Amino acid sequence: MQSFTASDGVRIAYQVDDFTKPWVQAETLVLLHSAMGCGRRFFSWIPDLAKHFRVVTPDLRGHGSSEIPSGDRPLTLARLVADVTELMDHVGAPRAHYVGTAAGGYLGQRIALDEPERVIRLSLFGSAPGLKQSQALSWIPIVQEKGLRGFLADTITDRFPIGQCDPELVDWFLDQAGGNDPTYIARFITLMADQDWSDEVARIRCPTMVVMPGLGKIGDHAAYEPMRAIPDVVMKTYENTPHNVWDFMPSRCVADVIDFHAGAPGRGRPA
Amino acid sequence: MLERPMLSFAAGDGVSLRFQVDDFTNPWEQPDTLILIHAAMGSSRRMHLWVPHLARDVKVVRPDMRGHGQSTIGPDDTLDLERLTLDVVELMDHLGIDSAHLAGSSAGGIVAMNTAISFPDRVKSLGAFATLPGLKVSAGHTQYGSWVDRIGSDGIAGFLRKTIADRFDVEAVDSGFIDWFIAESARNDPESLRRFVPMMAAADISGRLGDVHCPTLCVVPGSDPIHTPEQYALLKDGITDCRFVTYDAKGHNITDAYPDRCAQDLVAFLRDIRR
Repeated sequence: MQSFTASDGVRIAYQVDDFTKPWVQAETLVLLHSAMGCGRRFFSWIPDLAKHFRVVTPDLRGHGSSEIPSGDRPLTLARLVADVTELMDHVGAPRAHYVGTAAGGYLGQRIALDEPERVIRLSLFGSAPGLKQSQALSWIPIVQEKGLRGFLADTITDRFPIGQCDPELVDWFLDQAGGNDPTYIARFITLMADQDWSDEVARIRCPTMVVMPGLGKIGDHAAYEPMRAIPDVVMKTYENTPHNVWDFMPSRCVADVIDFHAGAPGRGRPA
Repeated sequence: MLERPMLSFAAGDGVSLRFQVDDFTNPWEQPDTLILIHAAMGSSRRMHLWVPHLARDVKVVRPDMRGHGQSTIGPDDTLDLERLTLDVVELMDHLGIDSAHLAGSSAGGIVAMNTAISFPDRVKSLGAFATLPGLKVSAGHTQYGSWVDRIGSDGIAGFLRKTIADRFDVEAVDSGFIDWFIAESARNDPESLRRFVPMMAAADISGRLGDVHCPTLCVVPGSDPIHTPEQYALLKDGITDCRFVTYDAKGHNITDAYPDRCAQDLVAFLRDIRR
């Protein structure tokens, strides 16, 4: 992976993957992972997406190979957003397609609201307008008692359709997500659990796709309702699915992303 | 293309060689490695359209051959097929792997084939695209000596532009592709090619095809002004476990003109032999 230093001195790791035709100008697409995730969680997404787009995949601060910021500085949504926009400037992509899963989608929504000139199209997987309307704060004492991996293992059916997906994928997820720094993750979740911009989302100007995991395990359907007011929005429900659709049904997610971001003439470009 | 910095290692003779790695295999599995070797006048960048088809199945490693791309060529007396072969084996050593799948385009395929012959324990399979068992096989047909003269007088870009119909069905390829291909090839150092082309033109491993013991996929263009169908047929006759595929395609450079098809055929071959 490569890395750059954010404006407050924290080192942010990222990867670029570009398998587009070099003689055609390609647009850039950024993949923003969820809380406890990392860029590698998109391993099954990137090859197909990178035929169409220059794909930039950061590890959010405190996650993956990025530096964990010290506890004496406040963790803010504005800082997490700035990490992404500074990265996009660093890689020479002031305008790009934004794709986010859960908390990564929160960052995408904030950028679409606050710096709309940056976002060509936005797609969101399991990402309501903030995490306030969820049980996320109740996770923290459980994490403290059982550890991150133990908490995730106990609640795995909220996230994966156990019995219908590769058990090795689930084990890897538990190791990867459960291997994060629990103190930092508690800060991250506490921050996200205080966010709610459902009264603002209607101001998102760019074409937006909202994919809702059908079982509504983390953020129920009501949380997504305000997004119907986004002027140019496609709302999709993946029926009967727990939360982590991006991990256990990557082919469907990638097909929808390609269709939405590169499918029509003038959007991205054909493979 | 958004550039990612290349990795490097020191070959056995101290020369620094560069390579690129793309790995999207399942993180919980130990992947096989595929080393993908470009053609003369090429570089790892000329193979990048193959990667997305392959990199969910295998870890894809693309070296710049010495004297190409970002790899230096080294001292004058060291450039021969044996040295290029050792570069492949030493790359495997650097990666910490005992063996790999190899695939190559044209001269890169010759290097891959020679590696399979000389180091059979280290090569799991061979993919040879538009590849002969050494260019000496076609030396009566294609005047490689004149390539060197013309690169000297016209430059790489001028030489390729004048002979582009040998390489592509110019009417059939994307607009913009030819200019990119020529500009990309011309990033190489003409002085390195002045040494590389005659060395490859003298290479002949046709007598050792029986020593290729791994599963082999040969993909050849049906209408290639640089190599003849009879010359390509040596592979089918000489290699024991050989799947031989002919593309009804004009021009030598199938690996550049049809990257998706080449990579899809290679990944199907790899899935089949690993089953």
